Amino acid sequence: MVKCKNEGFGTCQKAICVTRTSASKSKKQREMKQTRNWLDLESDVMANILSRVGVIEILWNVQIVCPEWHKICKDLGSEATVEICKQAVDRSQGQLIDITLVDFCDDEILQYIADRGLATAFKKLPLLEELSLYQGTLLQEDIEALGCYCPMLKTLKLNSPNRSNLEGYELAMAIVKNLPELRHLELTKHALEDSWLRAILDGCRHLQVLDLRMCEPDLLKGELRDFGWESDDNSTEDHIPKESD
Amino acid sequence: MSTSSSSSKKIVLKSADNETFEIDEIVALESQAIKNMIEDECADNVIPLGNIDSKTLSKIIEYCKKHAESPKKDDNADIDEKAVEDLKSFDAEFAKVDMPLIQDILMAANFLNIDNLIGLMCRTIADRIKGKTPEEIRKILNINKNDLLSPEQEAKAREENSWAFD
Repeated sequence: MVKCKNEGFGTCQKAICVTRTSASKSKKQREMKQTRNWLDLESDVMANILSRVGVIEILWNVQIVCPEWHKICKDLGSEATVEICKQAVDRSQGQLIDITLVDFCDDEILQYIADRGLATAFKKLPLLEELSLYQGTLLQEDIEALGCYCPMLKTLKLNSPNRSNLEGYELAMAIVKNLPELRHLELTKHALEDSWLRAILDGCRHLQVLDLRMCEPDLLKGELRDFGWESDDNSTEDHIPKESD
Repeated sequence: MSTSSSSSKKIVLKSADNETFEIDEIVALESQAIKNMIEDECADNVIPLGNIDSKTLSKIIEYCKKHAESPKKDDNADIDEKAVEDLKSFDAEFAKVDMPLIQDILMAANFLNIDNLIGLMCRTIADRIKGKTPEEIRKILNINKNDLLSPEQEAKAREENSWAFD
């Protein structure tokens, strides 16, 4: 009964770690009480407030309030980018027709955009006509969802090897099965094989543009000609779009 | 504790201005910091809170009482919707106080580690500065005018983010 007598948190080992910084600040806080300086709030609490203000406000108003907030807002920056994408999807209310995600297209951001997975996002985007994923990951169920929920999709650009387990022939078959109406398909930097090129040319009868740059298409010129395709020989590496194009 | 007519254990808090508050343990448990003390059996005597005044502390106790009485979400899946609404409107009323008191409550809630209350206060402040210009925000929060970004910094910050407003 006497071990904590009149010493409050001070003798409590477990509580001490929670409160030590605040306790040492209490004197300062009392002195500051007259002026009540908001900047005395611990920065994680401050960040908690600012993150609730909304990203547009942060970028436009909040970060300019004072240097301390400017710094906190900078730290919130990457989250802000994610938030902007999320808002873009939300505000489109299903009217979004083109998504391009460059570089920062990791699973986390796709989750944000999609409310748990790309497949869910596609449900909200019935008018989507073009999907470009640079360094993104498209799973089997994503392609199925595209076929199911985005009947207007005409253009699919996968600008780097798919990081999912869906590769080569399986990827081609998923596209053929679910997206036979595609007009423009870009599969740059994919490991091209005879079998899946045939599958795509057979299955996607409406294709007008098949972009296979950096896939060593030279090996397959004969195949392409069999299907009545002329490869564009002017399309050298100089014309390959940068990932920011 | 034997003096208490109630069977529940009591916790006694003492504010910076030496006012004591006797509360049920279940109410005190809303504070993670006090919960830790109770678990460590360090809460048998008066707990002095040297940086929280009585006005702030009584508000915090009012909040903890209400929340301790309300059914917890994880207790029961089909929790009474009326109770949820009731708690929501309590929170809304609770937050209708002036900015200095909000800051005191937020600092105290942070010190006592009361998660829900921290969230409520942060949300309240965020709502009050939403849609305001930097100048208005400084006024609302009484931020010192000597503590500003230089015009160059401000211009740079605006330029960096102009892409978001195209």
